Amino acid sequence: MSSIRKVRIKIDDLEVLADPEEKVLDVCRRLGIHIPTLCYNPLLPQERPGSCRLCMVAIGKGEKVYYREACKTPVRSGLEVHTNTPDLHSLRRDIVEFLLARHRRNCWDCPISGNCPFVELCRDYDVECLTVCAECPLQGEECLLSQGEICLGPLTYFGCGAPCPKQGHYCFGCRGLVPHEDIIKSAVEVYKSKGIDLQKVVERMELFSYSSEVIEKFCEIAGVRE
Amino acid sequence: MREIHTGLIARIEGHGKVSIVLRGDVLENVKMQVVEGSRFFETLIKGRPWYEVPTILMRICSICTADHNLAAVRAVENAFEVEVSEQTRLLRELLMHGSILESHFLHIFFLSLPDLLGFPSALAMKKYYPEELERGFRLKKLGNDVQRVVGGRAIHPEKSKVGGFTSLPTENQLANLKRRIVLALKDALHTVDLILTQDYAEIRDSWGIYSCLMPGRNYDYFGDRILLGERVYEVSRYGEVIVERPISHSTAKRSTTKDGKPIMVGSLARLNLIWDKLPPMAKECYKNSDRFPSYNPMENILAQAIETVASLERCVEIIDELITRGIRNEKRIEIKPKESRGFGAVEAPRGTLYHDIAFDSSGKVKACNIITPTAINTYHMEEILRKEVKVMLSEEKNDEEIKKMSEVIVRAYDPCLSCSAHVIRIKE
Repeated sequence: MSSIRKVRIKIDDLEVLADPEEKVLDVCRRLGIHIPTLCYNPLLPQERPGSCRLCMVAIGKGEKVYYREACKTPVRSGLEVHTNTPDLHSLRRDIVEFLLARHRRNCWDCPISGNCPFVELCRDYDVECLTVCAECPLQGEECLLSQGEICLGPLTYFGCGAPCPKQGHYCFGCRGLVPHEDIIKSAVEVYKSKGIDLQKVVERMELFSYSSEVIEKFCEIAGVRE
Repeated sequence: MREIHTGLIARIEGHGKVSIVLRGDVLENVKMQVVEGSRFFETLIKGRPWYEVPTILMRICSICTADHNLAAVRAVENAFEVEVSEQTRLLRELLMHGSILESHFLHIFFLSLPDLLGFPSALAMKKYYPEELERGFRLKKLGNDVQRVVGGRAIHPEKSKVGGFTSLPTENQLANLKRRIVLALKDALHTVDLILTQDYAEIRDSWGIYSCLMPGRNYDYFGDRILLGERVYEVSRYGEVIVERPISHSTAKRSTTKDGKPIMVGSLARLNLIWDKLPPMAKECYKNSDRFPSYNPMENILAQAIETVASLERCVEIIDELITRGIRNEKRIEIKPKESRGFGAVEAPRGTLYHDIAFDSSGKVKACNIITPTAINTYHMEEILRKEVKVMLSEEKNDEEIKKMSEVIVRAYDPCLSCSAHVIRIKE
């Protein structure tokens, strides 16, 4: 061991000596810094897939920051790594969202699935509120909102596979509305950009979610009367 | 004074029980109690716009979703004077047959057949009748798939709207469906044979008042006129055919004829009244069975089996016609709302279903009245039970036997009690 020259790197403002053979993720694990992973498994052969992209870390500082997968990035001298910045958090949250969108969600409410690392990850990153739009195959011109239909896709819990929009029928929110402020804000923006009467959206929301908090919040953000 | 309670009856849709009141050994009263909570559907659609009406009303039931949808659609179209195209009409009929197949096979194989064969449940039949059970699953799935192709989902067919469909099935999908339906015909004929070889309890309905809609050219479950025995009424005059009044022991209203007699609707009523419209194979089954016209409500299950044959035959005919015509990409018809009142009636699997909806000038619902087939049948059930319990008491049967027989009688009607709970009286 002593024959290999160690390199000096900086992880979260902490100076560390590392083997040049090592990857950033290994060093972090050794130091007890938590980086979420799904595809990484030490029991698997050396070649790491790097496909879940959850172990993204920020490399460099100031304006020259770029993001790399920690499991595939080799250690080199003078490397400056940040593992937990607000940007990284939102990046990882986006990744979890994308993964969830392609995930069968049948196990979601199952009590036995308590030890699923992915479900835990979703809870950690507060991602349980994807909307029907994430599953809907209609894009651009085909989108029912572009055709002037008042679709509740941007506000409704996903998991159904968007059967109604696929059949040309607007979503009327039968799975319930997502109570997340971000989602409501982005939905209001979507409706405004498509030129849809927000009052009519509220009317439609009342069909399955009469007097829900989401409607109150939506009215507050959109500035319409209930 | 003592009472015999059946407890909540298993293997029916919804919650109901039979209470038999005895004074000594003399029968005092028989109550068919629907203990389902009130559903308030007639009130909760008040003030909603016309285009939401089918969406809300089809959620009354999860078995006859297509029927409630189509009844509501027809009521709205009737109110706003909309004429739909031939293609829409054919697709709607196909959707209807899908619903009939699904509901009838569910009742035949999983609810009533265990009674006939003497098993406590359908799953207990598995050891002795594995083929029949498998056939049941297969046929029921076919019914669901017909609804999925035409209506977009196996339950709550969202594609079926006022004025047409939001998107249409492809010719390929229909051709695939047809292949399965042709195969299923053999299964359905086997089912008729299986039911024909069983023994039924001999019960006679001494009133013999049956009602159904008058069909068009075919056995199609739609109609604008009501048949009550020999007499014919317009659908808008349904109030003269059926008189409803609330009763204290049940959340379903009691429906009678004008002179207070019980009416029976459903498969048996349809076969008794309009059997001559049946397609050829079903008509042959009807004649060969040598049981019709039947006044025994227990034979409702046989009537259902014959109707499934008729539905499968019609499905093939409709799909052939659709494919020869070619599926045209039709837009839904534009609706201009106005102040009016619309009536829509369809023959649901369990009998005639009436939707009566009044709109204001902006197209919002002002008032609504729904009469479901089970609500009509409950009084008939009660009266038949009253008669049969009397007979059983004179034969000195014990309580357990009386309870079991009462359950069998109730189940034969294929009641959907959650649909029947409409106790609100609407005054315009």
